[in-house]
Amino acid sequence: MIAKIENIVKRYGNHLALDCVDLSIKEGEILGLLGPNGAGKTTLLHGMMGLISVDSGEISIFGEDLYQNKQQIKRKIGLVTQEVTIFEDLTAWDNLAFFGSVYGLKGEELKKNIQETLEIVGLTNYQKKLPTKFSGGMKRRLNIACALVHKPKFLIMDEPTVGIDAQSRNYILETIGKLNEMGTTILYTTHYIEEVEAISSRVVILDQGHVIAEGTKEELIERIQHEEKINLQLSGDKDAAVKEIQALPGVKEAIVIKGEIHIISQAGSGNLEQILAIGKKHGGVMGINSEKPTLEDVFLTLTGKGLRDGEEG
Amino acid sequence: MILKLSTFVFKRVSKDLVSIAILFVTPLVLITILGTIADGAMNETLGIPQADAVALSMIMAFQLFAGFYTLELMKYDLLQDRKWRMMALPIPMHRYMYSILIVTILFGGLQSFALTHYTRLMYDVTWGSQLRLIGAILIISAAMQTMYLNIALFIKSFKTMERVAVSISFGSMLLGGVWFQLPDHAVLNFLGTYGNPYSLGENLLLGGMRGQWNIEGILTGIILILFTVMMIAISADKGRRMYR
Repeated sequence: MIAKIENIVKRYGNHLALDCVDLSIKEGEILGLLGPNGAGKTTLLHGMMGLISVDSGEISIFGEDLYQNKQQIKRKIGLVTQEVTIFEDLTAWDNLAFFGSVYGLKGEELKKNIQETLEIVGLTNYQKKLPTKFSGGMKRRLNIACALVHKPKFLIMDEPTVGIDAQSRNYILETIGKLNEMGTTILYTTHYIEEVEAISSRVVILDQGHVIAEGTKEELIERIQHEEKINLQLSGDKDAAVKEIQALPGVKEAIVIKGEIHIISQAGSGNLEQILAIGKKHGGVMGINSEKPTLEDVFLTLTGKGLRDGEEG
Repeated sequence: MILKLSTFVFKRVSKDLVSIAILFVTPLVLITILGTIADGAMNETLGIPQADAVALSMIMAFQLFAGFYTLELMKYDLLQDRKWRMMALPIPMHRYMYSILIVTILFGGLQSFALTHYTRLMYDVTWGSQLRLIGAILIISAAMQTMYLNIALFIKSFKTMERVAVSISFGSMLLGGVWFQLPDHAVLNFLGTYGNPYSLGENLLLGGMRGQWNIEGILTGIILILFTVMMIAISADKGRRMYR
């Protein structure tokens, strides 16, 4: 176990930012921490690194109590901040040299680590350039590199892809995958569901300071998979087919929309084959597709569709 | 570690061309213009040539404002967004403050020292013993930078920080009689001699310029050193509590 958080509570005045949060992170996994704005994601990350004090609860990282071994624990963690917090007036190389030096790296070891890190984030050709000349994506990659130079066992990433183009985002996600393959455990915080879907082995959904769901993507989808949508394209008599489909057990709705029959059926009712048979009987099936719920459906079902204009702690 | 990190801070400060333009080039230009106008006249109050008095007041005035180096570095590294990244590092952050302080004291001192050489070459300003001059400049620089460090630590709003710093600097110059002599009153006389950083620094440098070890110069030197020690002690305590 890399991290174990038990029952942590954090208040800002009357606002309860974290309410009895439990979280565990296993070695070698990429844990996606998903939540709308103001859910308490950043507060949780800052709390579990000891950057802010929590009101109650226990945090152990690498099996050690955070508050008793804070500096030792920090040596093995890398934090990628939500904001780009590189030094704009130092070259990419010097940025990494600064952070590497803080972790006690020097001489050849420091040089080797800097070179390897620059290669990982694809900035080798820009090592002598100032970040002021970098694009947003390059700055983000350097921001990540600063947290990697000491080769942390555990990498905490707080929305590392905010405000960058699709290519840079893709590159960063691929890099995270590679780091994980190299043995780094990653806690990845974002509100981009597709990112969590793409890289995470396990997902935790946080909302209003509570963990509201936890599990693999499949497990979470399973939780809301109580119905499925089937779209059927028929060449023959649609109305007759709709009547027969409506009579099937487990079918909640069957209607014709723009020449297509849209069916909502209870998940696992095994209606697909019978619907196909009805389709064939009424002139032949031209097309059929079944839509499975996605992680986004899970997220919106659990957190609601209302706007969230909260503040992160 | 503190010294190692200072090398990176030094690189950053030396690349900050805007600050260098304001805190080094501007006094250079002002000294050139005002020194030319002085044209061999004597400053009766200080008892030194007017060109020397101009050089002295410019160096002291810009020493006061050189504290903005510390203020800006504190603001960007330890008080804004970057503070989370810095706090995630495995070193106590109040120690990093000293990396900043070492650089700003030396950098501010270096700028003043360069200005003294410029005025010596341009207007033959007498600064006295170089060793004593370097010592005095470093004492003054340390006092100013540690004062600004505490401003950064104790005031939450950046705007207020800047306003307080500017008010202290201009207030000190006013008490020091940069623009006009204050009325002859015991309290004002005391404040104008020992009660503000500008006058303390001026007295310290003036002793060297006159080649004297007078009681006023020695006393101001001791006051500045004690002030610096006190500022460091306060900042250490506050920093430790802030970045626990």
